[in-house]
Amino acid sequence: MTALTLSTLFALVGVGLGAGWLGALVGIGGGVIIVPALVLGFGLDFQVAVAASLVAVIATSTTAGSVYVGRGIANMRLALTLEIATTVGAITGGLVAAVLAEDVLAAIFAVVMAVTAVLMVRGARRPRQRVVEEVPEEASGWEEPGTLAGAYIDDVRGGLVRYRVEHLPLGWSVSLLAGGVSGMLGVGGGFLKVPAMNLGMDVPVKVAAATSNFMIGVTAAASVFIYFARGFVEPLVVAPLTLGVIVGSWLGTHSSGRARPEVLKRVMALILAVVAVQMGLRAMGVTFGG
Amino acid sequence: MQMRIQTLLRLGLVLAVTLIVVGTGIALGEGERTPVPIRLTDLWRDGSVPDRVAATGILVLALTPVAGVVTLIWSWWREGDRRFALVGVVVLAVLVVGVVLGHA
Repeated sequence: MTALTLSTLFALVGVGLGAGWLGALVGIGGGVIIVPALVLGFGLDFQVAVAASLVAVIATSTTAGSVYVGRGIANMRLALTLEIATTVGAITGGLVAAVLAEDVLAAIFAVVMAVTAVLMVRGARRPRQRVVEEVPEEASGWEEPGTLAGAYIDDVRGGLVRYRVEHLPLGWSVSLLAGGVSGMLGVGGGFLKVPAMNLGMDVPVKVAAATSNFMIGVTAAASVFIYFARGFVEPLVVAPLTLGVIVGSWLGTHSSGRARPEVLKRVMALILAVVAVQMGLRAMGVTFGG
Repeated sequence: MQMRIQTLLRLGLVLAVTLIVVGTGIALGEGERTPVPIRLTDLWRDGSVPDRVAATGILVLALTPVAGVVTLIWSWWREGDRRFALVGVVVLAVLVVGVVLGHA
């Protein structure tokens, strides 16, 4: 990377802002934006970009998690139960990434981005309608001790929604894969975990998204120490990027009511498709602008 | 339990951001420079002051979710939910293995 000037620093903050804002609006981590931006735009090594992205994922998770956990939407028992598989996957992914060639990592990243773009365009299936119970205004969600069941307050439908969790082995399998992808490529993996929890385990989509959000921070922490220990963390690259991500996530969370998610998801899918092609070409040895 | 986790995440975030801002600010004051990587084991031995301050902020941020796991284990153990306290201990053990393998 070139010297860190004021303009480079602001550019890194800008990448973080954009990734955090878009990530919060469309419900994916900013890693799918940060890694290609750092590799293709700033000329950083793939592993250095992944390490920076993992720190940004922790920042996003901590910023949003502090809100969702307080409202009782995230199911912490479900989160840590799935984390058994996700952390194992993340550590494995981090160790594998440390020995793989950059073009191989770029090729895997291109495939993951293309899959994410397709999943975003197809969108989620129509959610199952659940029974809503009346509750006092100040009530919040809860978890049933000793089980994975719980309840949350649905602000839109105005009441309490109870749920149970099914097909745990499916959740563990997808979590293992999501962890591997996260540790290897520096992405959150929420694009795999949220549909698996919602469609496969019958967890309400809001609970799935909030639980996944808490999980991605723990998962990223599992592999970031591997990158940190092996000298892939460049503090003065990560620092401005992380600050941008924190502000961007906050702005995205607070402007989500005014945005049109379907339009944003299509724009995001288009960006991901273009970057997937660029990363694919890079994997084949074709580079742009030196 | 929810409030404890929420407070912990916010404290970790504020402390990490403070250190990152201070480190970046000092680096800017020193003028143009090339970013260099820092290894976890050399955090307080090598590198310039701004690098080390910013890296400490990054370490605090990375440890915040881990502290969240510890707090959950403690909370569930106190509530008598031994089953999920054990689940948390397994996750914590895997995280520790990750740190050890990173240094291997």
